[in-house]
Amino acid sequence: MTPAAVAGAIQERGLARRMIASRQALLLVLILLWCLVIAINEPRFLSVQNFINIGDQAAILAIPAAVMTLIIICAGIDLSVGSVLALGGFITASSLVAGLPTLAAVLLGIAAGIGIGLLNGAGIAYLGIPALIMTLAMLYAVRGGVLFLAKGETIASDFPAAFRYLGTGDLLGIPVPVFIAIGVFLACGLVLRSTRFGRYVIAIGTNEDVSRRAGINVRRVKLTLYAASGAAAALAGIVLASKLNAATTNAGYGSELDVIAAVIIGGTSLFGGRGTLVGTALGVVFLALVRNGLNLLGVSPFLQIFTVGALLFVSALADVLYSRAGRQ
Amino acid sequence: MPRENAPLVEACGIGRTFKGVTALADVSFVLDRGEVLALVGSNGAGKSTLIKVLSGVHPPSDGELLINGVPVRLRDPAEARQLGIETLYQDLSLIDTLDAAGNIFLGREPRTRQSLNRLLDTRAMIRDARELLTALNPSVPLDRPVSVMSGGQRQAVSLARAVHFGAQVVILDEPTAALGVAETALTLAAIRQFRSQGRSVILVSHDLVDVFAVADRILVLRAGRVVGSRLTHETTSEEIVQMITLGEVSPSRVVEVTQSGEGRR
Ligand SMILES: Nc1ncnc2c1ncn2[C@@H]1O[C@H](COP(=O)(O)OP(=O)(O)O)[C@@H](O)[C@H]1O
Ligand SMILES: [Mg+2]
Repeated sequence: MTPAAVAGAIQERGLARRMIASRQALLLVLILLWCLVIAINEPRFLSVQNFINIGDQAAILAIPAAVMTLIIICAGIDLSVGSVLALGGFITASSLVAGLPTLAAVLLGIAAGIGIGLLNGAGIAYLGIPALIMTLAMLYAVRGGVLFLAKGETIASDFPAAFRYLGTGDLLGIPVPVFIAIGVFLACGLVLRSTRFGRYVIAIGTNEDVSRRAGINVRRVKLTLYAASGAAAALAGIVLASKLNAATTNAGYGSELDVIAAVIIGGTSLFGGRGTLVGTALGVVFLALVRNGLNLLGVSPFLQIFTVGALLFVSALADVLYSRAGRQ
Repeated sequence: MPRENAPLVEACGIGRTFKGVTALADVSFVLDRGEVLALVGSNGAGKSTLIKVLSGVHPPSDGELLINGVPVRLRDPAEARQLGIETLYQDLSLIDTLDAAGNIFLGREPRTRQSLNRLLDTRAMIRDARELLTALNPSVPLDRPVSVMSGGQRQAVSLARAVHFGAQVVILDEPTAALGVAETALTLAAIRQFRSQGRSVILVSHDLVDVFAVADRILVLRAGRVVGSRLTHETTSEEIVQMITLGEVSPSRVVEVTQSGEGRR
């Protein structure tokens, strides 16, 4: 290769990345500015304990958000994650109560999540039901199922230490849920960037017809994605149950919206085909920081909800403008 | 068994109707290895339908298709592709958010051999993409999504994909319709390159200048039927235009028609 070609290649690379990176960079700047503003007004913000709290809270949302990123890149959506979260906690907690060892109970909880995810995937990929409707139906059905099975009661018990470790343990002072979330993010990132499956997620999200014509098994990709989403949601529910030392029937209520908000704020395109896990990680952290900061400042929880709405609007607007610019 | 010196593609009496409407009737032609066949005809002549029959999109209602002398039934585009027939539709076959390599290898990405979980071999992808593209259009950027590329660059990516899949027959539907002069020249060069590699090309085009520049033979369709076929060096664009607009005209008939004034209708 000639030096000119090398220079050209480097320049092209810079340009391509900058377009995507700029939104993440912007988000990072926003996060730092936000931290600065809060820290000036409320010194408690900068305490180690506070950051541990933020990480702990963010982790529960982060686990399903990682897989949700892939689903939205694939031009899908999963509204059932909040309900599946409750299901995962419920199944694992009741298995523990029934005397199953921790590992078996956890695997059973995750298996339940995968089961629901497979139903979602089958309805969407094989029956052609729109993802929004299929997973909305599942949101109701699973929440109702958990309420029915638990008779509306919380399952609390003297859970084994191994189980409690998932939600309350720490490594080098960092909560175990944070490590679990990071693990899930790294796995999803590897899949998206470095496997055929990840390519197909992007391809299907961009243009399903072309993908099918290229010989991609579109149905199988979707089925796998929703199954993974179910697994991640159930895992989040298990971690939450471990943290609270209880599985409640309203666990994760409404959290599907926070998860989706984090993904969109992180710059993943609503139109499909574009998105990053780094963006979603920043989105999750930003949401957690906003909540935490407003809390510390004593801002009304109602205004906190309003703020998330405003952030989401701005992100969606940025996405629309970006897509329009890209299409010229 | 493939016949020894059978033509690459042979169409015998192909017909296709859509709910009683005849789009193609009794179409027969032969495509040899390393031959560039141009398919011309006015709008509605049946060119696109014929292409779709050849690429497995529409099964023929009538007639037979032979590849290497073997009768085949193409039930879907994947089967056609397996037999080495690759069709490029204008702007319809690329994933906008993927880069050139992502598109060239889509569905068959090379993976690293050693690891258990078989990760993408992106290095090989970039290397092979560069090699395929330098021969077709060196201006194609390797690390940008195809959405930001020009029509000619996108087409080069599609062509590279066809080459990578080992296409024996490349079908191009109006490949130069949206291209500038320089990009058209690159596309025509690519077609010649395919021919020199022993691949065959079916070129649908309205542009007779392009057709005469690259085609070995011209097949004229009119109202779903073959009007005739001419070797490019034995015909003129005047004759082809007449065949397109008037149907088959023997030299004597040309005179007749012109004299009776019918030709000016
Ligand atoms: N899917 C279809 N359904 C009904 N009629 C069709 C269909 N495809 C093509 N036709 C008809 O077949 C004829 C040939 O069309 P086409 O192959 O598109 O011609 P060309 O590409 O040469 O312009 C036209 O009369 C058209 O209306
Ligand atoms: Mg046409």
